Amino acid sequence: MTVSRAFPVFSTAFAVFYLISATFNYALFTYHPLLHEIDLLAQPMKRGPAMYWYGWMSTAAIGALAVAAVGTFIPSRWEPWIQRAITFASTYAVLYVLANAMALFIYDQASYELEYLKHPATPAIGALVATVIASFFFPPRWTQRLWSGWTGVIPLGVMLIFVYLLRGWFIPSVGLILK
Amino acid sequence: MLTALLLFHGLLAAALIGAITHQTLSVWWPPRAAPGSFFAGFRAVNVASYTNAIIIMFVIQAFVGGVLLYPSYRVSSRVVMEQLRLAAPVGIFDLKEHFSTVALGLLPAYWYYWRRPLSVDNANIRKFVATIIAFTIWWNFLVGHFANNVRGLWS
Repeated sequence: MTVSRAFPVFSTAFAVFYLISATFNYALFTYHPLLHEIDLLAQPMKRGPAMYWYGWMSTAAIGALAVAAVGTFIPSRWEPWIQRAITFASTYAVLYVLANAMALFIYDQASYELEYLKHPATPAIGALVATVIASFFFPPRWTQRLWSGWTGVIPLGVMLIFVYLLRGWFIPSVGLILK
Repeated sequence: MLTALLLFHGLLAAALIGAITHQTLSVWWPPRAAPGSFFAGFRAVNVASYTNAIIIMFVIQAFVGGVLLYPSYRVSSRVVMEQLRLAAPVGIFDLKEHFSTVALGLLPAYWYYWRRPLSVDNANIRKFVATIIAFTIWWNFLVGHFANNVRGLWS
């Protein structure tokens, strides 16, 4: 991989690291706007709200820089394996969402208690098994060379996940409009 | 000072929207003949030359909006919106924050794929990345105006 290829790698990794840091609140620092104070790592609010956004961006930037730096040292012959790993991870993410939705749907519809369907491990294991099976049917062109389209697909996927994560803000309003 | 910054933010957003819309339309719908109509002329510009300007304007916008204006939104406007139980405006503004960050991180790739001479191999990904950035800029522009006027909309 050449140094200039680090740019798309940074962008793709940044989106993933930002999603992780915002979802699990891995802020490098917390800003308290009313007090004009900065604390290291994610801290609870003091007087007024606490802002984590700058901390999430910093965490994501450091993670993405590290991945981009490592990417410059990876030889081209490894690219098919990276492609396979990204394809596997992306398929797993999509199947996990589907498996989770299906497990919750069955749980709601079932006439008796199926507690295990609510356990996080159920969709995780189900999606893993489905991905391993699906990976045997991946067309060769999906795994032969590193696809530049990931630079668009992964950030777009991250944006869609944010829409899903923030759905609680919209669903009541959409319900009111439809009413 | 905040009003002046907000005006600057809005004006720069209009310039950014113009540039990215030219670029996105021209890659999705390239002009086939000499531009005769207004719309053909709109698409017939040398859009690769817009790339650096778009990146610089986006970074300035992120700094003005995210660093200079966002803290006052967080301590005043958002609190009011929450008190008025305007959940959807708060949610779409949160999405603006996340979309902007993802697009900001996408700028290095955007620069890489749009640097000249334009590679024929990267035509599709160039189009894809420009579209994501265009969508984000339009979303930010509309949501920003919506949030700015939200009290008037529900009064």
